[in-house]
Amino acid sequence: MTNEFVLDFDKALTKLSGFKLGKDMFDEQIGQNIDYQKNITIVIPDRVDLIGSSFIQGFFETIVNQIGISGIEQKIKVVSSVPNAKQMIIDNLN
Amino acid sequence: MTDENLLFEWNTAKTPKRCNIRNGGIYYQNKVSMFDGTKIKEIIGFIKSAQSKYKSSNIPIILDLGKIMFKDKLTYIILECICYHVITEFKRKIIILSNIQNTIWTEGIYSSVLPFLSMAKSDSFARFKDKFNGEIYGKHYRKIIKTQDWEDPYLNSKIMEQVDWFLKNLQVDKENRNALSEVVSELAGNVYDHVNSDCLIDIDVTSEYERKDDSGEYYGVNLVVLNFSSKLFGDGIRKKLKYGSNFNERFHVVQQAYDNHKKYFDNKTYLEEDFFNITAFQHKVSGREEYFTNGGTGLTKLIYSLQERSEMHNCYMISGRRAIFFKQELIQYNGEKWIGFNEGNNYYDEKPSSHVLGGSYIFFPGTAYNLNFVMRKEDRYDK
Repeated sequence: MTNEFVLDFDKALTKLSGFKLGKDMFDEQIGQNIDYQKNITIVIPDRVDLIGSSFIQGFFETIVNQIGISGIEQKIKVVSSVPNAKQMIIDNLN
Repeated sequence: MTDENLLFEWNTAKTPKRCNIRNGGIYYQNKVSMFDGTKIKEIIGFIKSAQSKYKSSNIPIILDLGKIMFKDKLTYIILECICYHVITEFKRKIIILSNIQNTIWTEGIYSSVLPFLSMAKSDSFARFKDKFNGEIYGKHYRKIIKTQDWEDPYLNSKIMEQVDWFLKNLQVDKENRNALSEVVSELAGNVYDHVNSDCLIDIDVTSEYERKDDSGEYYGVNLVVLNFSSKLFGDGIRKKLKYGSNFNERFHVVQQAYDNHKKYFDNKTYLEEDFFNITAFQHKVSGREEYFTNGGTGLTKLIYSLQERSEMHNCYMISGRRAIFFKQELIQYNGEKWIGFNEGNNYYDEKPSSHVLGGSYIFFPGTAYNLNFVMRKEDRYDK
């Protein structure tokens, strides 16, 4: 089982916002297939240039509960065209 | 809009202005030049009197405002909502006679729906209603999000997208666009998450202004986001504190802070609802049981970052009878991620600064944000 997840959503969107959207996207595309023991890669399509804090909080809620913010720092790689995406995500979760 | 009738139900003038017929209408005459919340309250009282005195006739209401300046954007947006309610629900025409002076904070009045009410054209009222419900044109963005619109799972993202696109067309730089579109999208999302009512968004970007004291040029970005509801901003926190259980660690701190703050409540300068309001802005504190976070989280950070890039700003929120003014120096998180809203940045046992709290002239049923930023022209163009 690969632990890399490429987010799939409306091709016209270049921004992601909303707690529920984040939570639903995680539940539908990642929730059942993720292995928290291994390193995890989340790929956000390049067209996305802005991610709202509510989306981040919804998307990462379960992950924070499972491995904590330190686990995100150690195990998760975020591939995104948003500059410093991973740090921005951690800042929003702290 | 849902629930704007609450403006009429929850605001009662102590001595309503007498209403009589003059020039073919139920005539209201304003005599002061600064149009603020006190005038809004007076007009609500006047309309209520007119409705009661002339309920069986369809004589129009004439608001003769004279030469006025609106205090800020939110003031004229609330007047728009009042007029909309009179036209659509009371089925009464309303005519506005005015000579409006604007500032950088209120230039959006020129793209407001109110000027339609001063025109004697046959389709003025239809155009008023149409434009009230939405417009993206030139320097004006207006949208009313209905509760059913949230069936679209991407709505939050689409609002963000649309606001960004609107601002980009007006050459607002990327950093400001990012923060502004996130603020609007988060505030609209909060309305649905916490109140489940319709939400009005109105943004205008002004032309360029010069300041007398320097040679720079400036432009304004003015925005209002509001909803009408019987549920006030701090109600979720109040209910959770009074009737809730199973608090998380941070909410236990809130509970202790509430006990510490009780001694400061004086029913004049610091009210219990002020505590609930400032608590709703705290990090990872929510009035809802099931949420990890809440709408206030991050908002003050975004407002702060916009204020930092602004030359001047005027940002506040009203809910019920109270207001919170977002004073830049008082809205930062401390080391434990609490905002004190006071000079010591101490949420736990110091009351908020008197510069942050205030009364609202009207009882606002719901929550309304007035966010005005004046930015330098040299920062305007996208790089």
